[in-house]
Amino acid sequence: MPKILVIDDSATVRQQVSLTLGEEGFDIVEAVDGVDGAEKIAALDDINLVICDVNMPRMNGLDMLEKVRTSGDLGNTPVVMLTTEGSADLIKRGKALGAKGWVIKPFKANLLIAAAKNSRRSADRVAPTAPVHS
Amino acid sequence: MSTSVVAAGQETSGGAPNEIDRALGEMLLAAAPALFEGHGVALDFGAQRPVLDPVAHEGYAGILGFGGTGIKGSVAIYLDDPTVRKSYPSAGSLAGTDEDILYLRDWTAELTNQLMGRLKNKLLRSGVDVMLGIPTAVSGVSFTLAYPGQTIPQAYDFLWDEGAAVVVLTAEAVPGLTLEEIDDPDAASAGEGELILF
Repeated sequence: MPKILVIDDSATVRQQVSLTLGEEGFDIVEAVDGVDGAEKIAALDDINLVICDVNMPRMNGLDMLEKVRTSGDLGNTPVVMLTTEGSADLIKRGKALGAKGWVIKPFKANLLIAAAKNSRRSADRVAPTAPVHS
Repeated sequence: MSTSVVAAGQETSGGAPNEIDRALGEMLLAAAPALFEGHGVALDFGAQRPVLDPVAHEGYAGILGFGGTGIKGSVAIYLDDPTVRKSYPSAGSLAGTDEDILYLRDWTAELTNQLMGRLKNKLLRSGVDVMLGIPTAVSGVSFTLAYPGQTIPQAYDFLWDEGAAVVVLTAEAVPGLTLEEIDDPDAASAGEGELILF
């Protein structure tokens, strides 16, 4: 079952996302802020997708994305930002950091599901194939 | 410059209309009903209220600060219990226990965040970018706003069939700042509910 890490400081939003994507067959892991999210990304090697808020205490979502991208912990795992922020500058930064999508809260369930499925397909396309040895 | 408006569009005590408060008030009057409509509550604007009058209903209050070039302030919302419960996304998951208060408080903070997000997106269309703080919320039986006195907040009453909400906006802006929508693609912002794929 594909595993999604949901990072948001709002328990209600985490629950809302978990219910929406859980019904689509995704297994959900939660983190409460950027620090917690970075720790879970480093500790878990079976995450298929990260859905991440931007404005959070301790470490915001874009700083967390930069951290796990720089450390290599994120690997090829796709990231979709889920936030109230619609600023073009922040969206550009997210894209530059390799985010695959940006959803503005409040989210529409069908669009979040589409973003999750699209990001997984995209990750599948770029996933490195095993070397072939003769 | 401190901004002080008694009602959006009315003149301040100084005699001159305060354009910043008027513009922010118009943004708020559009943003708050749209936000709550998206969460199943049809809020109608009632009236502006004397800001020091207590909000004497049991419920929840959330607040979030913002700041940017030329402007800073805060948004606070006061929601009675029926309004928070009606807007809660997974009302069926509430257990009817004291623990519900924690979830409803969390949801009040998130609603404050989403309301400020809408205001920020409107400000961006006027070429004004602001940074947002982290929202916080409390629950209680009566709320009274205290403020330093230099900046007079604007307080707006909203009503629906079964409940009420109050939104309080406090803002200070530098002289000369205007909040008129500009035609600048770089200032464009994505809209609520929008999905952007890279």
